[in-house]
Formats: sequence, C-alpha cells, structure tokens
Amino acid sequence: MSSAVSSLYRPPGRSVGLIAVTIAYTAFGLGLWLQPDRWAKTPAYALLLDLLPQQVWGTIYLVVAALLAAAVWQCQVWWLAVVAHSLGLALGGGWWIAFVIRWLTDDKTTVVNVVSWGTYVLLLVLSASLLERRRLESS
Amino acid sequence: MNPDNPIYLYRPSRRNIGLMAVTVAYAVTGFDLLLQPERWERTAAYGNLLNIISAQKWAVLYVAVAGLLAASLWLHQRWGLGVVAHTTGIALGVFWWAAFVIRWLTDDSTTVANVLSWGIYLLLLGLSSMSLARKVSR
Repeated sequence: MSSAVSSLYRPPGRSVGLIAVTIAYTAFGLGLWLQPDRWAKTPAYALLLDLLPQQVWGTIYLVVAALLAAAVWQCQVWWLAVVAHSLGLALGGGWWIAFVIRWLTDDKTTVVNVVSWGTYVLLLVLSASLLERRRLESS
Repeated sequence: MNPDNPIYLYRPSRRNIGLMAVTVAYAVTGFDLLLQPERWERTAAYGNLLNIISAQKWAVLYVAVAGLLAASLWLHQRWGLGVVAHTTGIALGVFWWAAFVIRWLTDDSTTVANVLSWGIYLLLLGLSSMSLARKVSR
C-alpha cells in the first residue's frame, strides 16, 4: 500500500504547479529588474508600485523564486518547502489582493490579473497540501 | 507491478488539478468578456485580439472551451472528449499567447505578465494532455 501511495503522490517539491510558479516568479523578477519602465507605464500595477519600486519587487520575486527552486531541488527538506511555500503564498496573495481591489474600484481594469495570480496562489496551495500529505504518510 | 491493475502517474482523473485551474481561468475570462466587454475594450493590451473579433465572440469561445474542459473532467473516461477539449483549449490559449508575445515584442509599454499567464495555462494543458497519450499507449 505504501509503495502505491508513494507512486501516486510524487514528492511535493517536484509538483508541476510548484515548478510552474517558480518559472513565473523568476520571469516576473527578471522583468521587473530589466524592464522597470514597462511596469511603470501600466496602470494595473500602480497600487503595487506606490508601495515599493520595481527593483525592490523584482528582488523579492527573485528571492522567493530561488527559495521555491531550492524546494523543488531539495524536495526532501521539509522546513525549506514550508518556508518557500509560505513566502510564495504571501507574495502571490498580496499581489492578488491588490488586483482584486483595483478590479473592484477601477472600471477600466479587466479580471485577467485577478485570475492569473489566483491561479498561482491555487497552484501553491495545492502544492502545500501535498506537503502536508507527505508528512502524514511518513509519520 | 500487476499488469492488469497498473498505477499511472499521469492518468485521466477528475482530480486533474492543472486542468481544473485552466477550466476555472477560461470560464472566468469568458464570463468577464461577456459581462464587462467595455473593460476589455479600454485596455490596450487586448487591442490586437479585439481587432480580430469582438469581446462577445471571444467570450463565447472561452465559455464553450471551458465547458468542454469541464465536461472532460467530469467524463474523464471518454478519451475522444478529452482530446477535443485539450485541442481546442490549447488552440485558444496559443492564439492569445502568440498575440501577447507579439505585443510584448513590439510595444515597450507592455509587461511580460500576460505572456507568462497564458504560458502557464498552456503548460498546464500540455501536461494534462500527457494523460491522454499514456492512455493510448496502454
């Protein structure tokens, strides 16, 4: 039974969702660092760029992406996965809330960013749920 | 492993998380295009796409494809339905992704956000479609 369960549920660090979010966060970080003017010209990010400049957001995205990548690579290190998922969810959740607020208060904004960051948060939550499942299995 | 009762890492299932995520994303995008078309028309990022067909027609396409994807989740044993749903989902996603790539390359006021979002949807659909290939090879 245990071998069947371990075959069906891969280690959470290797979940497809986590790899996808790691790629997305890395590209956001690089985009914010290398093309900050593009983000400044787009009204959708005004709330977020009022809080912190592009380079600071870019650094945060790259650090979190590096932690997520480390969690993918060192998938047996439970505490690393917990830290990476927590920071990834905090960053993604924060941006998602900013997009929801903007969508509710500005009738020129579409739902695209709300859906996109909602997908990233969903994928991270589901990856985190596998983490808990693996811990239960190993105990 | 018992060949009569194999275990597949990728198999058609109602618990296909990636397919669920894309289904929800397509459905929300479709309903938003249908119910709030003026928001899309006011946003420059979608200019290329709305020049081709109107927001309402894109909405119908998104809702129809989301319906097919949802049906393929529910009736996950129907291989033909899965193939049609994944094919139309990937075709729609690739079209929009290509439009965002072109806009990102040609307009320096556009961020990479939409390129990445639609890229992730395509990645999830591509990985989900692997379950169909495994079923064929069985």
